[in-house]
Amino acid sequence: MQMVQKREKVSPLRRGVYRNLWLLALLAAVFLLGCNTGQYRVAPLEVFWTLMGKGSPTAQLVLIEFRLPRLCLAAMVGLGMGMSGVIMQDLLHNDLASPGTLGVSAGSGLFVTLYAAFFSSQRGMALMLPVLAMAGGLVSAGLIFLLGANRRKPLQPTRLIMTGVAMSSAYGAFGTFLTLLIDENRLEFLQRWQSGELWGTQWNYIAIFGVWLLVFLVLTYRQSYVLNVINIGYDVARGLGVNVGRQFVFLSFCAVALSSSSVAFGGNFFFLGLIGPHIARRLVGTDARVLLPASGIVAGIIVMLADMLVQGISLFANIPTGIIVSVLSVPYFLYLLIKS
Amino acid sequence: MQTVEQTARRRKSNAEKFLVLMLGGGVILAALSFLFLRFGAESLSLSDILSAFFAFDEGEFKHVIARDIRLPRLLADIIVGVSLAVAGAVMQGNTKNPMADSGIMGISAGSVFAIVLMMAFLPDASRLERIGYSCLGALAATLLIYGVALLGHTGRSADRMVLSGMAISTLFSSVSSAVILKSGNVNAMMKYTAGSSANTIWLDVGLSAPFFAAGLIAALVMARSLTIMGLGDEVSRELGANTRLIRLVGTIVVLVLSAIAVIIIGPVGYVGLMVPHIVRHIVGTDYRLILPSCAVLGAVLVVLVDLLARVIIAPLEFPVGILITMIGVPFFIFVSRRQRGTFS
Repeated sequence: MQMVQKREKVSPLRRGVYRNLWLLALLAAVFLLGCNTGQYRVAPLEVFWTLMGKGSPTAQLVLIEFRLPRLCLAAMVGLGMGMSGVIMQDLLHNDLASPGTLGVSAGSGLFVTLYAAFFSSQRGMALMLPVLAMAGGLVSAGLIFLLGANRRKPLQPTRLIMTGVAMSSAYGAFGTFLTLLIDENRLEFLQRWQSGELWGTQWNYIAIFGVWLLVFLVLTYRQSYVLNVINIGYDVARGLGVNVGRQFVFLSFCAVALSSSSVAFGGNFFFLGLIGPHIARRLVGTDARVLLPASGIVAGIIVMLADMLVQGISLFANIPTGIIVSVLSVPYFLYLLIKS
Repeated sequence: MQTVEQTARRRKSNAEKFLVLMLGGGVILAALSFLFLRFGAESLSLSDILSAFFAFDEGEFKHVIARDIRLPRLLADIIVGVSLAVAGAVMQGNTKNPMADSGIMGISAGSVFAIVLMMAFLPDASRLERIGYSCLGALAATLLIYGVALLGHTGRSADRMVLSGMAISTLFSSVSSAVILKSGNVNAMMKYTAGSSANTIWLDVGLSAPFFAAGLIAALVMARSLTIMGLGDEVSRELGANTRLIRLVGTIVVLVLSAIAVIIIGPVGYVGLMVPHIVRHIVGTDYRLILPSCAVLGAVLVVLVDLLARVIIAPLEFPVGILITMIGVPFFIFVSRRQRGTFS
């Protein structure tokens, strides 16, 4: 009897692990395809040789200097946003929570806008950006809790989300005001950045982003059991000996850290943190141990595909990737609203 | 149970409050209008303003400022304020959603999208055509909003409506910014999307006036039906109201009024949320009282904010749309905190 129960319990997890591996393979395939998308064609075999360091100089230049950093950035932005979305949805028990709808990414964005508008010396920007974005995200997360939660009543996620939506529009208004004060070059940069342009495509940015992401990835993943228990219910978690208050704060902190670094380097991808977890949940189920990586990978694939559209189709050339992501994901979001 | 007498007394006191509100609002609006004409980058004296109207001299710079720059702008602000507030009230009555507002629900974003497309591809379009495109954009957004609301199983819960409005706005505004970036005219279009009535000329006022008047009159005519709709679909059908017709007319009114506002001032949200809420607290639930009060208070709000926008950092100007958003967001949070999850 016990054996049967155990097997039944293990199998969805194992299936989730397999599906994750499949997703990873898909990510790799999209990555290779991405290496081949654009004005200059590089055949898959040539991609392999170039990566090994034995390609032609042109292929070397195109791949190493242009395509690879962009693809890495796209995948990493997706990873950060997708995982952050899972944490927020599990913590709040609400599938409409995400860095975008809660206003956290808009807060990060405002701080980055402020910085870019007034002190945009390029030196030191790479290090300052995630820290600033993080500060902005934390401030806005705190504000939303202060305004949206009531001490005497249980937490109401929809209230938080409504507050987040409103705060986003306030940050947006303030950001637009700032853009009116600055000169035209920075204006275009900010406009692009606000609509989600993958701009941090230099290897030093990517290295910093990667380390940052890795730290918080590990920190979050170690708490995936806690996330599972909290997702069942705050009281259940308390009954099982989880310090809900502390874990809530810690996991929120991780979620903000993950999403804000994505915002800092990738720009504002509004719906990404929402749809990544949704698609992943359909594939691997609700167990955070498999859901967290799956959601990150799915979101990464979405950003990479959107970016390939920008790179590969001349009509879309020069349009920020985030716009493509939004146009693709809004219908899905509306569908979710209709269905639930 | 309320006795007939109590209801009658309450109705009478609401009517009294309504009169006070209209009179007070009218006086405040007149005073604000005077200040509006007087102050700005250049201060004018009372005699300048009077002689600008009664003894206009084309060579006199101050007369031109008063008559051809500030007066059309004042009228534009009044039109925008009235349109947005009345459209908000009609929309709230129509959808029974207390958070409805043409900015929040994405209708303005639809209009802006159509206008941005027009600015990019048909730069020679006349100002009249602009109104047509703006209405078309608003129509597209409205159809989407209603589609989502009607297809959903849970009915029209306020929170879901706001979220779908946000998604629709995001859709339209992200496509708009793609067009803006593609067309290369970033600066001018950004200024437009920030919301300002600074470039209004007499022609704009003249062209939008008939549409504005038609929308406003239609709203006032359907006021009684809107009050009945507030009792619920079944009750209103039993009372002989054609709920479908009322919804249709109401939607068209909202569409035209918000499209006009977008053409004049750009996407400005929250007026349609704030004003009807305040008004309902004062005059109750009768739309025959609500709509005129909304018109007056909406005009007062936008004229006041635009006056502030011109004065606080004179001679530069603060974009009105942004200032209104900054007032509107705390209000929105306040309202959504007080309100229970769904509107019943």
